[in-house]
Amino acid sequence: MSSRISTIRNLLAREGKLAVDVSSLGIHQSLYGAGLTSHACVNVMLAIEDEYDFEFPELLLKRATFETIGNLTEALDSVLGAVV
Amino acid sequence: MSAVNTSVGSSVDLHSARLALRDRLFDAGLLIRTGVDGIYGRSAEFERVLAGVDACVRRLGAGDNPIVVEYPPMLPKATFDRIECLRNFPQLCGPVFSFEGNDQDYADLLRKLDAGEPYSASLTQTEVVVTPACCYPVYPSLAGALNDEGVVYEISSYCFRHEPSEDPMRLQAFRQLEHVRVATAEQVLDWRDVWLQRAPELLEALGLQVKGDVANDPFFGRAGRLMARSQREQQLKIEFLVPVFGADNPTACASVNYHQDHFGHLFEITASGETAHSSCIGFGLERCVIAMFATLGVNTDRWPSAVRRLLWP
Repeated sequence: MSSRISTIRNLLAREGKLAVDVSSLGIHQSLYGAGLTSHACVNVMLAIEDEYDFEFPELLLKRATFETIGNLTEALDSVLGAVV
Repeated sequence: MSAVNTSVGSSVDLHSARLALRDRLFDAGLLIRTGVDGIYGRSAEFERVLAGVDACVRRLGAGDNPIVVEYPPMLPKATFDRIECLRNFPQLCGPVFSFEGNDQDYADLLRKLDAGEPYSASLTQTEVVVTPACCYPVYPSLAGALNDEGVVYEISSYCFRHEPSEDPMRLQAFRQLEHVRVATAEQVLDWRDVWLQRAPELLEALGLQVKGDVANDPFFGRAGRLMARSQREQQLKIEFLVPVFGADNPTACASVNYHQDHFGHLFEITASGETAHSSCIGFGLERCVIAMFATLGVNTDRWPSAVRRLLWP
């Protein structure tokens, strides 16, 4: 598991207020289906930006970016560069 | 008579058109200046039209047998905070402050007042805010389990939003009339579908051109843009827009909002054993009235007889 996925899981556990244990979620499972509300989504967004010291570009400020752990990882890779 | 209702191209033209409409309403005595943009007096004639629109909306929803309630235009700060208004729309909020000091503080307050200095630091936040949306008091009153049919409410109140503007369609203090449905998701969506038909039909019958469109609330900042996009992607807010300043700059006179289970979660409301869903249809009464004056002219005697009969049957 890449450290980014692990960090995203930690931030989701802290800020996501999910109805399920985040460690039980696959990277392609819907976070909204797991109880991520729009307000919790904003908190997750701000926590990720704080963690990686960047701002999500406008194009990525949309619901789909935060739909799954996989989408979030892809978004981070696209902005920060993929972890080799 | 409807010179304002023409296409307005540039922002300069839009600015001029807004001022022209406002001046026309002032000159006709329908609105009365107070010195603050968006805070105006209303004439008896204005109120006669507004009462007619209000009655039309209430008749339209009467078949749903709503529970009719009235609240003052104040909301407990605790409810305001819980609904997350400050988080979402800090720029629009209206917390109420008052003086809670002693004689020495009072002397200091008077000194600031007489010197023309800001005195907000001498005031203390009270336990109330001015209501930003008239349906907000309903949800906390419903905590617990609803019956199988869920509920429909009808509620109206003055509301406040801090957005001073020269545009007479954008007031800071205005009246909303809302119908609110709280029930299961399926019941709420069925009810919403009915209002998506009813609302534009009424506005058209009042002589207005209407177009429905997906919209978003004015969430603050970058985080707000994520909220706004999410709201649009899910088509949670549908506005009924009237082209008072031309088709490129329409103004919402009513909107239907689907909150999903947001308020159900916040206030622990259940329907059929699940977290309750909710939706509301809100009419901006002053916006409807001003759109009618802009479209039909400032003399109601000259309005189409069908419109007059609808307002004053």
